[in-house]
Amino acid sequence: MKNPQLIKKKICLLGSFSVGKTSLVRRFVYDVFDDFYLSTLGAKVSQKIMPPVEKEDGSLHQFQLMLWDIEGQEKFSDYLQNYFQGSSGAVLVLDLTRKDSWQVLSDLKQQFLQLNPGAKFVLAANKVDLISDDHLHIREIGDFARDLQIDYFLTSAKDGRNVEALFRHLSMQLSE
Amino acid sequence: MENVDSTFNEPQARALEELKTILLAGDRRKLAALEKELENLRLSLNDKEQLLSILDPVTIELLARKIRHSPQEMADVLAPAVGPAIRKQIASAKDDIVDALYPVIGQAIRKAVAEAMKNLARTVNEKLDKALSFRLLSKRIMARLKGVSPDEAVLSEVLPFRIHEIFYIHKKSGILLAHASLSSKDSPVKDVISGMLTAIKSFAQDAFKNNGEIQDLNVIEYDDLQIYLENGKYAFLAVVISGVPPEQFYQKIKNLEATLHKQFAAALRDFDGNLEPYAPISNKLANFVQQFTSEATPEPPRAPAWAKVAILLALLALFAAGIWYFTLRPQPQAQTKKIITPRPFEYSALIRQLKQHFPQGLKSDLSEIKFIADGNILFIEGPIESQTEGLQIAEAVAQITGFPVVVNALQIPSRKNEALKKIDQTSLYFGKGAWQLNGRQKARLDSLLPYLKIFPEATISIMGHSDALGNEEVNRQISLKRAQAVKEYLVQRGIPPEKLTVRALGSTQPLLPNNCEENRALNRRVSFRISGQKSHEKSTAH
Repeated sequence: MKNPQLIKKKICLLGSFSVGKTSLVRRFVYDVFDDFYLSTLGAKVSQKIMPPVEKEDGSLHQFQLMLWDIEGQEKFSDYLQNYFQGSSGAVLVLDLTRKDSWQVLSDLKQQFLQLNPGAKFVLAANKVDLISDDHLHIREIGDFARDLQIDYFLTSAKDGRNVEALFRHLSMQLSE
Repeated sequence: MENVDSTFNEPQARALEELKTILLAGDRRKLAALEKELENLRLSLNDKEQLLSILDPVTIELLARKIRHSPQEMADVLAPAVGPAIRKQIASAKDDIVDALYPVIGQAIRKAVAEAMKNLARTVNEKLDKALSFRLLSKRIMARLKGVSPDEAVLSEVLPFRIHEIFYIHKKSGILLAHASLSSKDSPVKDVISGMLTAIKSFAQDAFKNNGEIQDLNVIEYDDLQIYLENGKYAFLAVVISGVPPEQFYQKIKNLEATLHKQFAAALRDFDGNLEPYAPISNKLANFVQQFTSEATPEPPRAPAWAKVAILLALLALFAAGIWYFTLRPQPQAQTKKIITPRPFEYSALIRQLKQHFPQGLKSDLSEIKFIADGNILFIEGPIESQTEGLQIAEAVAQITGFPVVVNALQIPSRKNEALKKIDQTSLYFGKGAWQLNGRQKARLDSLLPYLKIFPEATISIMGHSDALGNEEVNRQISLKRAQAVKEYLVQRGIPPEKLTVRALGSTQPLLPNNCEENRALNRRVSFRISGQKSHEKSTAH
């Protein structure tokens, strides 16, 4: 069997403070969750090699995701611009329990796209473990994602729900 | 008295009163003066200024006496106030304090620096004691020729320069494009390091922007390591180094960046994460690391063989010097003809004269020999075929140039160096689409066998290449078959298969541009590389 072609992609995690960006990365990369709040200072880069994917032409390729977990962004600034450039995609993260964390994402997405035209996105509606299935926010998140024009996953870094699927979905988009 | 008074009539009483006035007048005046004085004293105690002027003359004396009689007691009392007082004084009159302390602190610093220098000197001396004097002399002479301080050269010997790792990183994304390391172990976090270095660079750029002008980060220091960053337009090199970098390092790293930029700028502009086009860079980086490592690494350090070589060379030099001295010793009849001071010599003229000196010819290649003059010393080094020839050459050089001291560092090249050169220079060439070995190729491999066996610990990479005509996948397959055919033959000839690694490089590493058949024929080849550890080489095909 042929060795898959390794392709490295830079992925940023975007979102307000304390929405769980670092926890999502830790769950995805190391399969761990720390139940304490660790404010991310500046940026932290992690990596994860995804399973090989077969392309339409039959060739195999494999993504090595370089995950840039950047401190909570309340608005777009010059220094964030430096961190975001050269990215192929982003995971937009919101806290399902905190409505104020939803509002920043639209602007962040637009600015990110201006820097990285053609970037792919996926939305992580995080901390689903903290709310009930019939919570108002669960009902609203579908409309919110539709407005943003991106696919979303109800995720929990705490119990690992949908974390793998979230990044796999983004990888699939990157290979299109 | 009352009774007495009452017994006097009025005139008597008046007379008595007058008498009292007369008798007590002095006392009353004194009393009034005392009262006034007392009042003044009371006022003085209430008036702070006056009180201070009263106490002032005695305070110093009192303190002096107290300190003299109860020094410890005074220290206990004053100690809590001294710290804050000093801090306050420093805050309010920093310059005065600095001026006051300068002579003391200056002396302390001088003492500390002297101590540090003494330690450094001790280290240098220990190193010098251990090192081969020829080697250091050579370094000093080379340094002087290059315009570098000889002491700096010795310092670089004490603090040897190493390139530990080198990263070639895409500037925008921080994605690692290529990497090489001195260590045989491949770091699992090298990609993360690349990302973090890029993040740090971005942060520094943003934080220290000068009037909107972007300033690049050039060096990060960590413990005794330095991360030197050479910035390019689309990518940058991050070189992890230790020790004192040689003069040419900075220029060479700039040149390397410029070469990579020239070769890969077009691809890097539209970088999409695909690393295939950048595969050849890793070899370039590895060569770069190796180049400085071999320059910096002392030949077999501290090994008994090394010591023997040192002693042998020293003895040979003494022996040779003895011969020259004998040869150059003023002889009565030839005194006027002998020149015992160095005279300027021209390299090609010297080689010509040497060739004339040996009309029967030499086995050693004279054009490989270097001559380095330093004052009255001439240093000669280079490969020779035998020690006898080395002595003959050195003697002839002494006669021709007239240098009173000639240091002979001519050496028979080490087998390993020779073998490395031979292996590196060997390539087998193939016809179009061909991969089977012909008789001539097998004979070449046979001649390579003894050299391959010199490195029992090393892994030999057999790298198959193709020209760039046709489908790249087909080319890769052919390059793989070529490399495998060579591997099979070498295994048949006794090289353990686990020592051999096959790499199918297709047309990714052409020797020459694939623009004519002549060049393409040279690109259809198998080449070899020795690597220290098996894990160091990655096989792309099996």
